[in-house]
Amino acid sequence: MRSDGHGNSRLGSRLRVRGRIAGEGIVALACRFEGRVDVRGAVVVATDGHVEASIRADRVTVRGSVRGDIVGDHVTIADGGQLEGDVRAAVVEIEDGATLAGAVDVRFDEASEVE
Amino acid sequence: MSEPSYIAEELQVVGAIEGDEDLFVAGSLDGDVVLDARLVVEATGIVRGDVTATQVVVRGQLSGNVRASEMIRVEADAQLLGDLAAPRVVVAPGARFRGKVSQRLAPRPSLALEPQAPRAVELAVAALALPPEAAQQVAVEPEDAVLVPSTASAPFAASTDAADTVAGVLPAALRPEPMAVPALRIALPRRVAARRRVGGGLA
Repeated sequence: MRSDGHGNSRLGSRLRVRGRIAGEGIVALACRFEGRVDVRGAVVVATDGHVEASIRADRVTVRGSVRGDIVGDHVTIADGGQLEGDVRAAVVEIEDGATLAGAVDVRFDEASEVE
Repeated sequence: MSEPSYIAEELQVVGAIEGDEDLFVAGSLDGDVVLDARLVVEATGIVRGDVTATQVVVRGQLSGNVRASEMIRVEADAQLLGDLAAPRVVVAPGARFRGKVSQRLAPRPSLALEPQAPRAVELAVAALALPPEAAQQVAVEPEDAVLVPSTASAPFAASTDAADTVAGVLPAALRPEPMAVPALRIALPRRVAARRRVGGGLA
């Protein structure tokens, strides 16, 4: 029995998923995923994750590799993370060691909150 | 070891999933699943699609054909619409289930479930909390819902018109407790060819 739901979803590294993910909560993708992600909440592409998808979520963290565009409030390309695609967000964070090939659009109207 | 794969209640996945790690679905999943591992549909989970896995446990809803190389367990309160194929099939009392059951698993998982009618439907022993040996002693005749005991020690035979209440025809000796028996409802498709698993039985 499982009881640690708390809205946390996880697709592990030994899964391959093709399709669409929607809903809310925290979604960790360690799998190979192809398709589209649209989540109210957070999406984390784990170090093992290989995602070919457009991602839309409040909070997006890329530790693995993503090919596709990301739209969110706060997007982080973490150390070791790779993104091939465009980012549009109020806050964009590119850590040392991240690889990014694409355009970044940080919305100026909300940028003042970030300072 | 990391956490198992889990689709939470608030999440909807539309698409195909394959792989070799256990997957728990508490949210909704529309699409086919092929796993060399376990699939568990939690009480809040809704899966619409065909499933192939080593073991399949259904506590929520599943619409689709299910094939398991080891076993399928349909728990109480589960709702299952589709055909089941596995060496071991367990349906708990209270579960809602409509479909065929085949325990002659084809050697290759890729083979289609159709069209052979199951030779016999084995009653879930766990569902009645009977000793495991009882599974070999009870067979359901889908056509007329007759229970046939294999041993002469507990001879009985009865049938129901509704063909869905098996409980009433169990011998008293096999009833673990009065409460549990009426809860068992197994709806059997009438088109399934009736085969008697054990000799002797009815005239």
